[in-house]
This record gives sequence, structure tokens and C-alpha cells, in this order.
Amino acid sequence: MSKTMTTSRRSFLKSGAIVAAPVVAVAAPAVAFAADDSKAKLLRLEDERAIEALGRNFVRNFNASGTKGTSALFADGKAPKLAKNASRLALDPAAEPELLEIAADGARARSRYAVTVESEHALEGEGTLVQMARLQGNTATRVSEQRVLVAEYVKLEDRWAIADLRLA
Amino acid sequence: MAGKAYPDIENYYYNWTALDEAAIGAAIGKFVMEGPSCASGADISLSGKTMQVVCDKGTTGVDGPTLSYRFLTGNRLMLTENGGQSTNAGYAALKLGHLTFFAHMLPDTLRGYAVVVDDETNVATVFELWFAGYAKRKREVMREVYQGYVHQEGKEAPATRHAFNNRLEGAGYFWRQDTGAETLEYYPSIAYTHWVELTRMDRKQGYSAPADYIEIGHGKYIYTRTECEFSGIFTVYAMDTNALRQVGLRLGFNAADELEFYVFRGTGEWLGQIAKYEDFHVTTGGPMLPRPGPGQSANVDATAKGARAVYRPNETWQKMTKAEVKAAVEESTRVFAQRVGAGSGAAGMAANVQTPSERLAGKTATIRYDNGPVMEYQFVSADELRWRMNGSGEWETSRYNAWEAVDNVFLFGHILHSTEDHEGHIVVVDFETGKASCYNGYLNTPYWANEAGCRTLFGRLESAGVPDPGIDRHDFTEDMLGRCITYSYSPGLTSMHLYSTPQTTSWIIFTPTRAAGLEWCGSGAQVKIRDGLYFLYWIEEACNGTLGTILLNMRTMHDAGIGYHCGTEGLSMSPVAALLGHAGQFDVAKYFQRRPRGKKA
Repeated sequence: MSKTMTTSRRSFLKSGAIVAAPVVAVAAPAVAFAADDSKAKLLRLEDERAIEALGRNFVRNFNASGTKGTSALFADGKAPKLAKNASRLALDPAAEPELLEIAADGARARSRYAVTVESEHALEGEGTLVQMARLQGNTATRVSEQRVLVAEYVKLEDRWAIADLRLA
Repeated sequence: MAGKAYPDIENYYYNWTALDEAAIGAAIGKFVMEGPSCASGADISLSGKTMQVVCDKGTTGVDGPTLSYRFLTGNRLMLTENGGQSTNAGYAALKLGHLTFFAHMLPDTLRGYAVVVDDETNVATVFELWFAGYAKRKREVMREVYQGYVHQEGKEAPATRHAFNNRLEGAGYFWRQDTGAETLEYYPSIAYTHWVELTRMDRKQGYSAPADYIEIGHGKYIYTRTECEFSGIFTVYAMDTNALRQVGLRLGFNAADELEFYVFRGTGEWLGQIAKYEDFHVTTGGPMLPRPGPGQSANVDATAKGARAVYRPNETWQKMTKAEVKAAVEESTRVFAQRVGAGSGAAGMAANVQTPSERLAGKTATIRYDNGPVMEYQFVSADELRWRMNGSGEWETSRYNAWEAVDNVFLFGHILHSTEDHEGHIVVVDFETGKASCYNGYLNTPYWANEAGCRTLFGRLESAGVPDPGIDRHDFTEDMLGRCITYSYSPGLTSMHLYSTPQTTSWIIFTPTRAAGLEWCGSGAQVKIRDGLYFLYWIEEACNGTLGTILLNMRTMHDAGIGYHCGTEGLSMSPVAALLGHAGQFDVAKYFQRRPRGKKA
């Protein structure tokens, strides 16, 4: 049996709305039960938002300062190298994560985001074409590719942090 | 050393005289008060008029001058620059519809102006021209370009200007001047041009040089060319691309060190239009400003008057003597040092190399070249062959790679280590027709020992089951003439070949925004193997000396190629390949009729 709950913002909000509806319609014992359930849902919603914010912060910091600028977001304070020559990440601001799972104990989570990775490759060599390309300013090539940003999170005392992160 | 005005040898190899200021000034002094000559008679309609041309900042940001002209009778004018002292000089003017073009030098200086005015809009383009601005080649004409207008008393300055843009990129024209000079002029770039001298030289070889492309409007443009690395001659003309007429100026020293200083009228023919690769809405053009890098000094100043990106390979490549070549080859000869192919992770020009074929392994073959050697081969494995020349001597072992471009047609290459000139054979063999062709590369060429030379050999292939072609051979072709093919070697490294003559390959490098940029060219050959399958070579002359060969398949738009190169790092034979695109073809075949075909060994 899976120990994790799979959700996305949309599915979560949908189930939240279904759960919320009886809150005002049922008798007291049920209200008490619903209140407990809502509290759990609320906590989960807060966790989910915190994790999503963490992901966005990672992308923002990476684009601003590279891997080193993301260290503080990791549980061990060390950011892994993402991919050779990766210079920029782009999340579709309107897109939802492909996956956002929070463990049943609420202590760990993982996510998968579709991401565009821009890599910068320096033009190497001394051939004529390369010399001419450099002379007119083509010092490096940018290549964009669609990848998946896979992250695992751990809940610390006061915040969520990234436990592991890689591009798939 | 001065010789014929237009040398019989390629411009790359001509020993251009290092003219100094005194020699240049003396030559200008002879003609400055006469003004430029004109074979068809200059226009004198400016006589008695005055004109004040107000210039904006130049292309490099330098302040533009205000030029106050008074056109006297005959060919004299008086010029006041920025309200200073008045100077008399000879000039010549020409009309092209509502465009007025005039040009002059200034006495006791090495400079002058060429001006294009649109009489309907009063918008003007001014070229300030001067010699000795490039210290290493003082004979080279420098130019700064200013947009501006003709001041009209009591009227506001016009808001519009002529504009650099890419509208001429990809066009080609034939021009015939009133002097009788005929040229094919390709505009394959926003910043460079390629031209072929049809009458002044033997039309075998085209050349590339920096250019300006400026739109006036309504099909009218201004073009300039500076023959950097060669004579340094400057050409500027205004043209009407609908009427196919031009008026312009030619200024500079030819190979006889004679000053060419004349205005010309010309008529043209449209050669066609190839594809452009910028985004559809983009019209950005030149000029390209210089950046530090190979061919330019690190402290190059993009804001200096007249500065622009100029590819100067002849200044920078390392030329070697025969002894140096011998030592370098002995020190290091690398033949297909790494087996590259699909999935090998190769980079640069080998990223699109297909997996070498193993199908020659185990075969034996003899190739009998007409007026050339008889080559016997034993293909021991996919990478190793044994060869013997002319049926005598020891069998030698060489590393080779082969690619099967279409079924039973192979490209392979190997070095002939024992030869004095460190020869390489790059061979196409057709096991269905029995034909074979070879680009026989060699070093120790007359000008620089590390620059490759190439002999083209045609012959027949003898091997088990291969038919005798009789007297049929592969042959030189004009199928590729005027074509432009893009070669994408790896991300960020895409060039376009322009086959401007049957014996010229020019290559143009795309900028990050896919505008065509810097350009260079060299001699070569184009051989047809089968319909849609062509075997080409070019030499990167005065540049790095590489012999490039490709077997180009127009049906798959892929190629297999082999480069043969010698530098201080030694001799190498390496695979190259690209993903191809067909940018189009200029219609130039008729300009190459009644000429000797190709150059066989």
C-alpha cells in the first residue's frame, strides 16, 4: 500500500471543495469530524504551497546565481550540479507540476516539474568556421531542451527543504 | 611588387605592394583637381548649385560632418567641412533617376567623399573615404558611413533616413560597367559580399570582402565593397534593382599600383534570390562592428571611425616552410584518430558524421587513374587498408575510414605516408558503375608549404563483380553552380556554401540571429558522381590551408566529408559532416560558357 498521497493543485482544490461542502450542511459530530479533516487538508495545502514556492525559488536562484545560489534551499546546504553547461531553467508559470506527492506522515515529499533547460556550449576548436563564428560574436551556443526537474523534499523543524534534485 | 593591373594568379597569392602615405598622396595629387574620370561622361547638372549635407553620427558613433558644397562650372567644387576653410577639388557626378551621386578627393589629403542624395526626399548617405587608416595595409580604403539630409532653407530636416538592413541579403546581380568591366556580384550576407571578375580576371575564382547594404527605398539601394586582404580597392554604387541600373565610384590601387579613380554607370541582370534564415519579421542589417577574436587584435576599438568586422585570415594563420611541415608531420600524423559516428559524442564539425561503413573490409580493388597512378588496395578491416602504387614497391599500411553514401558508392580516405608531399587520397568508388574519382591532396605547395593543394583524378575501379566503365568517367559538373547549401555541423556552427563559379566555394557564417555574416572563399571543384550525388572540394586558401572534401547527397540532404589539414600540430585527416539545407540557386550558368572545363591532373 502506498504511503504517499498523490495530488496536484487542481485535484486537491477539487477534493477540498467536495469536502468543504458538507461542512455547513451536516450535524455537529460530523462538523467536528469535518473540522479535523479540514485542518489536515489545510496543513497539507500549506505544505503544498511551501513546496511549490521552494521549487520556484530554486529556479529563480539558479537563474540569478547558478547552482551555488541555491545551496540555502537544500537540507544539507549543498546544491548538486544539475547538468553540464545548464545555464537557465524555465518553468511554464501556468503549468502545474506533473506530480506532487506528500508522504502520509507529512515529513517528506517529491515533485516532478516539466522544465525547459537552456545549456550554453562554448564554441571550441580553431577551425576556420569557428574562428569566423567567434569573430562575429558567436562565442557560445545556447541549446534548449525539455526536461523534467525531479525533486525530493524533507520537512525540517521550521520549513521545507530540498533533499535531492536532478534533471530527468 | 607591381605587376599587371589584374594578376593572373589568385589574389590570395599576389604580393601586394605596401604603399605608404607618400606614394598614395602622390597618386591622388595627380588626379585630385580633375576629379574621377567617367567613361560615359559625367553629369554636369550640379554646376552652379549649392548643397549643404548635414550628417548624423556615423555607424561607429563618431560625429558626422556638415558638408557645404558649391558646385562650380565644369568639374570643380568648393567644400567647407563643419564651417571651416573652403577647399577646391575636382568631382564627378552621375544621375540615377531622382538620385544624385557624386564623389571627390580633397587636395593634400588622403581622403574624400562619395555622396548619394535622393532629390525627392532630400535624404542623403555620405561615405567618408580615406587611405592609410589601416596601418598594416595603407593601400586599403577605409570608409565611414553617415546618414543625413540636404538642408533646405526654411524647412524642417526630414525625419526619415536611408537605412542599413538585410533587404538585399540573398540577392545576386550581374553588372556591366561603362568601362566594360563585368562582374557577378552576390550579396549572400548582411555584412559581406562575394564577386567574380568576368572580364578583368579569368572568372575562375570569386572573392569575398566586407560590404555595406543600405536601402534608399522603392527598390533602390546603396552597396559598397572594400577588397580587404587584396588590393584594398573600394567600390560604391547606388542601384535601382527594378531598372537594373547603377551609378558609382571605384577608388583604390590595382595590382599595378595604379590609382583607379573613376565613376561609372552600369546595367545589370538579376541572378536570383536565395533564402534568408532570420525570423520573418527581422530586417536588421549591418554593418557588423568588430569584436576581439582571431583575425583582429584584442584591443580592437568598435567605436573608431570606420571600424567594422573584417575577417583577415591571411594576417593570422601560421604559415610554415617545407622543413617545418616535414617536422610537424613526423611529430604527429593523425588519421581518423577517433572512430566517430552516430552516438560517438563527437563535437564540432564531426557531430553529424554517420557511422563509418565496414563494407569495404575484405575487399581488394585496383583504381587506374587517367594520367595518374594505379592504386592497388587491400581493405584489411573497417579501419585498415594496404596500398601499393603503380604495381611496384612495398605494400604500405594505412588507417582509413569509409562511408557508404548510397548503396555501393563509398567515400574513403587515407594518407600516403611515404610520399614526399605527405599526400592524401580522398576517393569515391562506385561498385555499380566501376567509376572512381580522387581528390589527391598534397602539401609543399608553392606559396605556403602547409597549405594543401589538390589534384582531381578520374579513373576506373577494378574489383570482383564490378563492371568495366570503358571510357566513361565521373566528370566536372555545373549542377552545383550558383547553388547555396547550408551546412549545420553542430549547434551554433552553421555555414552556407555558395558555389559561385565552377571552381569556387565561398562559405558564409550565420550569426546567432541567423543572419548571414562573415564570409571567405577558396578554389575547388565540383564533380558529379550520380544524379543528386556530388563530390566537392575546396581549399581554405590564405586562411588555414585545409582541403575540405564532401560527398553531398541532395536526396538525403546529408553529406560525408573528409578534411585534410596540416598545421603546427601536425597532419590530420578527419571526418566532417553536416545536416544540409538548400538555400537556393543563382542562375549564372551562361556566364561560364565557353571556358575550359575543370582542371584535371
